[in-house]
Amino acid sequence: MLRRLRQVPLPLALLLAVAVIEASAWIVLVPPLQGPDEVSHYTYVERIAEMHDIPWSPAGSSSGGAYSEDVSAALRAAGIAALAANVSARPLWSPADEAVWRRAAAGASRQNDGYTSAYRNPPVYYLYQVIPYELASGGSFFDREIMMRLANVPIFVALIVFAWLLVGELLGRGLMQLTATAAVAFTPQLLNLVATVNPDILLAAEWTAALWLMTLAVRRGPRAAIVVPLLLLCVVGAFTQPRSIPLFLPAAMAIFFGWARERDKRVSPAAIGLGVLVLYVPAVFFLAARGPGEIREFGSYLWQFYLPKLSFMQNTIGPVSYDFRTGFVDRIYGTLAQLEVVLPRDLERVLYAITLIGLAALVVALVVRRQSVRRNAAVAVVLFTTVWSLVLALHLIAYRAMVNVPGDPIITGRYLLPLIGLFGVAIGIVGWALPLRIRAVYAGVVVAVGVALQFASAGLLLERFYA
Amino acid sequence: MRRLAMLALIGYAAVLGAFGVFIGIPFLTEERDIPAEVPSPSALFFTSLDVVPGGGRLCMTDVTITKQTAHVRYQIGTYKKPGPPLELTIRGDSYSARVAERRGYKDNAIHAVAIPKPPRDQLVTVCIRNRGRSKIAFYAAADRAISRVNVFVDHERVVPTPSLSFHERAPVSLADRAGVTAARIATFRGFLGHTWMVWVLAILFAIGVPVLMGVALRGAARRP
Repeated sequence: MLRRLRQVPLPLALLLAVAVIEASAWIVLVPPLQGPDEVSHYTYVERIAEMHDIPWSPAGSSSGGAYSEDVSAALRAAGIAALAANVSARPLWSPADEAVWRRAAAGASRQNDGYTSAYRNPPVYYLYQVIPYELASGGSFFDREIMMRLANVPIFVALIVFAWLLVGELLGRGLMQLTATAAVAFTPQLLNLVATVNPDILLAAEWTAALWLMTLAVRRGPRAAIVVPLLLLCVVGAFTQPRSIPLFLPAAMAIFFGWARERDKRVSPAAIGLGVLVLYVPAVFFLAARGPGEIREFGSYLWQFYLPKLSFMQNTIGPVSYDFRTGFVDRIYGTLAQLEVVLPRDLERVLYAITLIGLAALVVALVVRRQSVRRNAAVAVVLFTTVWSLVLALHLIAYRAMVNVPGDPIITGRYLLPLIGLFGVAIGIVGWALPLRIRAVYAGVVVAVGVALQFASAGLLLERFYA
Repeated sequence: MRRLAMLALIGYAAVLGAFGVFIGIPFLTEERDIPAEVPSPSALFFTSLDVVPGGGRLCMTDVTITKQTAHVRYQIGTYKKPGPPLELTIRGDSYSARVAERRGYKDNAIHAVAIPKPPRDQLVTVCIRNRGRSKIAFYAAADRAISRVNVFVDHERVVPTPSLSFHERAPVSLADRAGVTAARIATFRGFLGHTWMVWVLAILFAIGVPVLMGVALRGAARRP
């Protein structure tokens, strides 16, 4: 064991130490239950732990008593509910406030049989969170909440290790491996989830591991040691969050390409990738058009999410100003806590410009290194399929929801975090195409921007809650 | 390899140094109106009103006042009339304050009333008596922003909780209030709720992270 630990490369070991520090800092800095839907996710765990009941087929509305007396005491007496998304509010922060909450929470029941929206999720993450909940079950509500948040740290560490392995497999060792993995580890929205009881952090880790295994499956063939954990991850992912279901598609492709390679079958990855796309897209449009949905409206929504509205188009369904920039870019770098902690407009503009330049640079880098891409066409097709199949599925889910409730755009930056490993890979590819010396400066600048983003995010949280 | 490490570190240090000088230090030293405590915030979605008739009194119990407090703020509507005189009283275990507000203030004005500093953080009851004949209305929250304070108008319980906040005498910077802020962060943090832990994490985050990443960059650049 010790010998294995000694084999961990120093840069990775240091990055993991940094990850633990930043995760712990965020966990303490973000006030309790201020993550996205955190109270709902906490309640799910509480229900499993206290009532030994997994809500497989939940029903009802949250208008009744959704929370236990214990949670309600924290929400009301500790000022947690009044703080949620309300920028005029500050946490209650004095010992006198703690005394009031302690009085209110004394003898409070932890039983809850109401309904909360998280009950629609499958139980894998919540079952995992029962462990920290039980460990702190003799303590207060806040002991349990903090313990559950801390239980996200091993998931975050695992995610970084898998991102490191993925980048190493695709780009090799050295500076780019650290740079690309650091870009993952410093993504503000990812840390926002680490500091929150929310299954999306587990989903991101599962997908990052799956991306690595898919790459291995293509390159080394469908060995049991690769395929079994990959399929397991697909299943566990689907039982973590239904948004994970598209993962089966690239996983199947990866296994097929690995099998074909091992048997020396001549297949064209590009043709197969295109074929899958040709089947998948009409299926998505068909599902979008079921019931009250319309193909044209869905197409128009997709177009207007990424591109300017054309003259013959009607306004998109959902909020008009909600698009690729506000929904994805702004919400990956910012929009923290309960969405109210946003980056300054100027910084948002700069980060958006950097993102567009980065995407253009990625295309240029792939063209420059086209020989290498061609040699790895099967891997490229699998990874590209992973991206578009998830994004299209997210748009389908969002559209179906907006057909009923157009005011809520549903889709958001954190739903892209399963692809965070590929975000790192993209940053690595850009550096990989640069001359060696410029690559070194690029690495230093990218890592520094990541650290600076961490500081900026912590500053924004400090300003929101404590200034 | 050494040259590459040097180039990486130069790029790293230049960006972080610029961030520290142009963003980090100004952020920490900028003077702000940091509240001393916000026992009852403004409404989030819909503003509600607590109407107090002429001669009536609104009281709030379970309000926390902190020792940094020098002003109390609340917002009152006067139905387009000049505001009637008010009397503010605050009472706690080791604190008592009584302040009169003159008539004639504007409709919907945010009142910032100077009060003596309390000796320590404590729970108090805040009462505001309408000493005029016309009614007034406190801006309040009955939506998700409803606070835990108990509100009474002429001894009768009402639901909306008036927006009420305590503030310091003058704007201060986060650097000035570093110690107080660490203690505030440590509140409601369960077994991590110790000020020293917040300090350790802050130091590790602010110094440890950039240093460790610098060492990692150097190490990665030297790898083949």
